[in-house]
Amino acid sequence: MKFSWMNKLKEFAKKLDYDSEDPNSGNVQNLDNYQTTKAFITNTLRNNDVVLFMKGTSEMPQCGFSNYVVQVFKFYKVKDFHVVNVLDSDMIREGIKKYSNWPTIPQIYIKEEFIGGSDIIKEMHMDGSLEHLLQREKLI
Amino acid sequence: MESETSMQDRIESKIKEGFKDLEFFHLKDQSDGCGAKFFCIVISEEFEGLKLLDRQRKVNDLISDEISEVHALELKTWTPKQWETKKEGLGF
Repeated sequence: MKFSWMNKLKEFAKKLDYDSEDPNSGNVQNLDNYQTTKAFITNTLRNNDVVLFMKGTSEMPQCGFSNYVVQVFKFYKVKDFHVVNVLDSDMIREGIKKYSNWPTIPQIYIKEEFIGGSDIIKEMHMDGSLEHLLQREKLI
Repeated sequence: MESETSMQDRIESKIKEGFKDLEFFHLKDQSDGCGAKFFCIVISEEFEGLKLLDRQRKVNDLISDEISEVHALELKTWTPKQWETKKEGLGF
């Protein structure tokens, strides 16, 4: 009996933390199952044109492939790209792989569409299709 | 070292089994302090008409167990026609 009211309180507190209208809500620390993780991901994608799920932050990337994508976005001067640091949360790190059906990090989304990982960004940068896409979507 | 070699063998054999038409295949172990890392080139006519994402997914699906274990995989997926223009730049 003691545990059930504590659990209910915990669930209620978690619900308060997550506000579907606020793009920056939903502290990644509170993601305890795939449903809440999926909601967090969906919400993040809906509220940001360019989203980069990466290891580390744009100021301090923690992996060469993630860093590559950050540098490419900086090169094109992409106005606002939203970074989710998967190292902050195992739920996000595994959740985004399930969500995208893609096994590796980094993962890039543009206007809610999954573009791919760093290999694809590299190809698209080299053949001009990334610039074309960013211009077409008015992101640069 | 032993585990990296057998991982390499597994990746190589699964990809080779998964393509009826594989014109060129290259797999290099670039593992470092961060973990197991591979550089892989797959050249196949079967990529014709597939966008990049679908090409990568096609390969990923063949080696899903292995990918989940490695730290990183750099994957090039091109048609034979594209390979003609790229291979020299990669030293082949």
